[in-house]
Amino acid sequence: MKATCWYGKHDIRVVDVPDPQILNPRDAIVRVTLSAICGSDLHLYNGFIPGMRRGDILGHEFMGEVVEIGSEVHNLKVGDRIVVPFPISCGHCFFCEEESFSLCENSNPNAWAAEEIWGHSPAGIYGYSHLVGGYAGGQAEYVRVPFADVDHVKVPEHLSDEQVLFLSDVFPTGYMAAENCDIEPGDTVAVWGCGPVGQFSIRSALLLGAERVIAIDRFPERLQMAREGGAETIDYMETDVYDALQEMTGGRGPDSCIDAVGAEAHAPGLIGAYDRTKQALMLETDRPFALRQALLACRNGGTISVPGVYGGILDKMPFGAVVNRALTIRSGQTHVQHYMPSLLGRIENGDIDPSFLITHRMSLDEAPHAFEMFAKKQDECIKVVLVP
Amino acid sequence: MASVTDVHERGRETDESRARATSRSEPHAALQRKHRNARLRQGLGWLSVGIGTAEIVAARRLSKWMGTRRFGVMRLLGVRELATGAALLARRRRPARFAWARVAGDVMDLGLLGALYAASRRPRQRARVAGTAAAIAGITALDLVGGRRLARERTASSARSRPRSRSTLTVNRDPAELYQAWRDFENLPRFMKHVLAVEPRGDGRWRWLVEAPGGKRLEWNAEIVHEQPGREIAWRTLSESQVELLGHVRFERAPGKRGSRVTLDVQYLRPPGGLAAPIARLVGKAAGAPMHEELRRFKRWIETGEVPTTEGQSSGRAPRKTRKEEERR
Repeated sequence: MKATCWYGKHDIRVVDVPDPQILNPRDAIVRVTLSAICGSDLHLYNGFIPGMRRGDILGHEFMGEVVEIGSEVHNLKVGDRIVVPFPISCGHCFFCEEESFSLCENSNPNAWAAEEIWGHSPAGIYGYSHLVGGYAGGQAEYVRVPFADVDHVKVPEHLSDEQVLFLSDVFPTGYMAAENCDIEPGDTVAVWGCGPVGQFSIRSALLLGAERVIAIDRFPERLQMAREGGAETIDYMETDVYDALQEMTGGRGPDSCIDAVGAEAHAPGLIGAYDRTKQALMLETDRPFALRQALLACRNGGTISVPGVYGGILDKMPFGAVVNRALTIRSGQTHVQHYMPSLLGRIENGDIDPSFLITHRMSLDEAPHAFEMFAKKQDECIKVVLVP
Repeated sequence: MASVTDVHERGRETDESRARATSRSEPHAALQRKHRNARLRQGLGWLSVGIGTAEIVAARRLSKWMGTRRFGVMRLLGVRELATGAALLARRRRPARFAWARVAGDVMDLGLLGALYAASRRPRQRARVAGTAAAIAGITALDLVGGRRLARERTASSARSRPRSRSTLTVNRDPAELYQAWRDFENLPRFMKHVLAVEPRGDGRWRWLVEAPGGKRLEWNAEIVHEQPGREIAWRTLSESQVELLGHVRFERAPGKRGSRVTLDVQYLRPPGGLAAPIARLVGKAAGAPMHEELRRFKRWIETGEVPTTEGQSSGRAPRKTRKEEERR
């Protein structure tokens, strides 16, 4: 079969690889009908995530048709159309039982490696480095789905692939980010980053009752999409973000802040150069510019919700703001399995149609070009879906 | 029959303290030793870095103070100190080796100082050189103690002694169920990577077939030496076996709805040699983790019904042939 493989920084190729096989009784094999490139895949593309090996198959946002099932999968049959959540979760450990699926204790075969850098291991993730299992991903024609009995949502005929694909990651991720803000009536939520997760954070915050959402980015097409989703916008190249937020919130600051940017923030001026230099020298792994800004801008006693991906060691965090102003920081990889059924319900009853996000539809063969275009934000690219 | 506690040489640990340990366990002695040694290694490392930096930065002044103009030598000594310090701080394996390098460096320094002492004429200069030599001798003593302590850590964990591995995990099941699953030794190959088969011999003893690293196969017979249904099992190999080890697994109820805390403890009773040496490394410190991985696989197998893996999945790498495939050809 054809698969999108990682061979190094800025080196993605679509190559022929062996078809996946059932390896465990709870596995299923899915014929992929649609997959997507995630913003977090760009961290792999840019070489910022440790633990990648040449030849790893990428992709953790995918859906398709079940073509084979293992002997212990009793709630799926060949022909079922499913969306697969990006965290791999066993469904029976302490964390899965409390629906914290992305913290599954059992799905990462390389848990020891994750423990080395993070202290404890989270769940395995498709196509996202050997630190989280080294599972082959879904930007391919076929994919093996472990714990398939737990890790799927069946989707009804009348919804198109494009409408439901984002249940695999970015929609629940934006939704959980908004839910983590514990939004009260009248609240203002500020969202850093208007990429896919930012877009869903904006819409989810409004669905959850936020009075206002203020979105921050610098790309006109992304700010435009944010406005279409109901947000007011700040272009951080034009205005000082802190000053603008102060003015827009009557000097108090947003009630909650969402950092949907993560490890590769772009920052103007000296502090941006500082982070880039330290990152290049491997003195820090991430450029936490958006996070710093959010910590300072948030109102006293407010919440910082972090769906953006950070990999390791962050530098120069204004932690004094957290302590002295009683801020709450909430984060985590998304517990996708927990959100999939209710969010599928929201799509079915018309609350939201996630396909608004797609700017580019390409064939799997074009994946290398798609990565480059998405990374460089060429052609107003916000979200690419790949058809095998 | 000796109880497991005796066999494990728990030493001063009384029944009472052990009872306390089951509910609120204190860090294991080995963990404390590991921590102390890490601090010692770091201390020696920073000492090297400090001396080295001084020797490089203040080479001229230091040399002049001791009455020599050959400050180039001083700089070289500084570089040597920095290298040793970096190796100690970089947590390289076998820290003892670098601690001994410090001792060798001290001896070299003392030699140089001796030569300088013989060459110097003015009494004030002689006094300074002698004072420096005394200071170096003090540091040498420190290095000797450090080297010996770090070296002990290594021999204690090497395959030649009696390696021991202890690890613990929380498993989302009742102690009784876990006990039952483990007590049926025939289950062990389902989650223990290197155990190919465990078969009952019919006389209450079990025959183990184990694949050692490198592909060699080992066999041994084992019997249960102690057990408390629902709580713990201890087994040991019979004395005629190639490998003489003691295994102990304990299941305790964890607080709230957390299931059980499982502690696995495997120890060699006799230094294994020859064919058995590689398997000992599995238990030894260099591979303290592999036993933890066995316990982790037990947890995974019992909680999920399978042991999660990516072995055999597709990738864009050239397919590597497994040993079994090679053998078949």
